[in-house]
Amino acid sequence: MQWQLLAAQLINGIALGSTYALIALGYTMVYGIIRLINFAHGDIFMLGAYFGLIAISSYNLSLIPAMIISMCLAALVGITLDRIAYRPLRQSPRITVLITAIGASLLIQSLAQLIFGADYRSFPAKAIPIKIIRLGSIIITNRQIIIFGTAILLMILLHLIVNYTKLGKAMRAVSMDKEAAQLMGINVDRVIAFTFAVGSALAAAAGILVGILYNSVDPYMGTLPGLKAFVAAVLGGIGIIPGAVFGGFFMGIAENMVVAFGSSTYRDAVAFAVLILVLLIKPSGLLGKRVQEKV
Amino acid sequence: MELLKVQDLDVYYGGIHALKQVSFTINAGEIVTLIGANGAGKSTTLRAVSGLVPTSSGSVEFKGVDITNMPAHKIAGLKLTHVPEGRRVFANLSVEVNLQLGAYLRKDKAQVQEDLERVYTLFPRLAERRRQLAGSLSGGEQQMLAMGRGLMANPELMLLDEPSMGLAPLLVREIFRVIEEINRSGTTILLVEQNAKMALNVANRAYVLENGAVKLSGTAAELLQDERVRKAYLGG
Ligand SMILES: Nc1ncnc2c1ncn2[C@@H]1O[C@H](COP(=O)(O)OP(=O)(O)OP(=O)(O)O)[C@@H](O)[C@H]1O
Ligand SMILES: [Mg+2]
Repeated sequence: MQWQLLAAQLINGIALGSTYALIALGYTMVYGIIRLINFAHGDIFMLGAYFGLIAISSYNLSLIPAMIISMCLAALVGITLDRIAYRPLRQSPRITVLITAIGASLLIQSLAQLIFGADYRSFPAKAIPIKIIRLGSIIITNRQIIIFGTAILLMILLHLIVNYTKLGKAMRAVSMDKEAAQLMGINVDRVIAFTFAVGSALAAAAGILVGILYNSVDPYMGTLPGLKAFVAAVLGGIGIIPGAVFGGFFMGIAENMVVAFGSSTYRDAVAFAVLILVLLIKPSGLLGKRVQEKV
Repeated sequence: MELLKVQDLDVYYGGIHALKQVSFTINAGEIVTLIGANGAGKSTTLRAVSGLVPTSSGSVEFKGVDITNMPAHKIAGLKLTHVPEGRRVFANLSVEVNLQLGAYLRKDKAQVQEDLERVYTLFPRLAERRRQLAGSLSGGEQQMLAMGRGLMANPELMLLDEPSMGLAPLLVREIFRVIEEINRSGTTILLVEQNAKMALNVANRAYVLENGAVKLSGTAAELLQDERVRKAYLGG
């Protein structure tokens, strides 16, 4: 086995995994705060990719402003989704909300197809010209570095927001005890909206990064990465923020190792295998101490 | 001056009629206690006042403002603070962050810092454990944290739900001492207690709840002498 090939797949896995981690963070934060698996999260990732694509190809923006605009728009979409689809169901049985989430996912996909068309689209080549970087006999592309670097930067930013800002502390309080949080004067609905905004913004950034990695954007691109990131969140322990990061990298690397050692036919099956194993062996996730279930 | 005025309050949990035409008042500066057996509706009364459960009829007035069915987070902003039954501290946050969250709505930063020091003076054990996760504290320490967190809002009226529940006698006395101290420094208190004797000893006035309705009321001294109260709540 050529170790260069292995190294290349490992680097691919890290780059891809960092995007899964960004998506998984949104799943896990929303679950942590309202115990909802937001199935439409992968579709917000897809919208983020389109927003970025349009900003770059139609408005000639460069990557960073395009990403910021896309993140802001996706945050608005996330807040709107919560406001019109989920908030009216806060007191409803979970299954009702879950079905609504699946419905929202299908709706967003259909709207995207209507508005953007069903065809694959790609980022203009000049957006990020490919550069090859050689480290000895290992080859890294600048795109991989940009993807990894952006993801890490956003994760650090999230860490600072969650742990050191007032709203971040309120978010953690709400995830632990909504009633007690209200008694502190915390507006729980606003904190939930903020959580959707942050999660959606991270997903949008991931959408652009994946769009660049595969150079392809389409209305259904959210389904598989969304599913894999969901498995990543479950693997790390859903509701646990560092767990989502760990799970994301794990899934990205595992997927590419299967390609390296087996066949790329099975790359998408990894997610299902991991999901089944986790649910069988440790449903609370690798970083979960106990089942996080609370009433 | 009437600080809190509750009139003819009715609360239902589905089909359960938990509060029936409950009325009472609290004057500024008082300690008022609400006593009653398990399930009498004491916690429900506090939850209705602080906005955690909706009322179906009746009214709640605080400082002359109608707060009936106002969202709980808004009521908290009026300096009416509820320290709930079972402590409800934020287990995975540090003692200090719990206390900071108590002051969530306050903008007077310098005063908040002073109040933090005041809470640490009142409960030195919290000061020693300020970096520790709230969930790792003992039951008594969690109760101190819950009360300290309530104090961080700088409340005019504090609702305390069974602050002595499950604590050793020495700690119970400590908690009651602190309640009197909080009251002396200007906070009005509505105290719910199973420990009727100690509650009546610190309170000015009391209401007795039975099956969701106010059965008796009077000064604490009167109720301590009342035959029915002695039989039912003071162990003869
Ligand atoms: N969430 C709820 N759903 C349904 N019924 C409830 C709920 N909370 C309380 N009740 C019922 O309402 C009544 C009053 O309960 P409440 O908790 O106010 O009593 P309490 O006087 O505080 O009792 P304790 O001393 O045990 O704390 C009880 O019959 C209780 O079973
Ligand atoms: Mg109670």
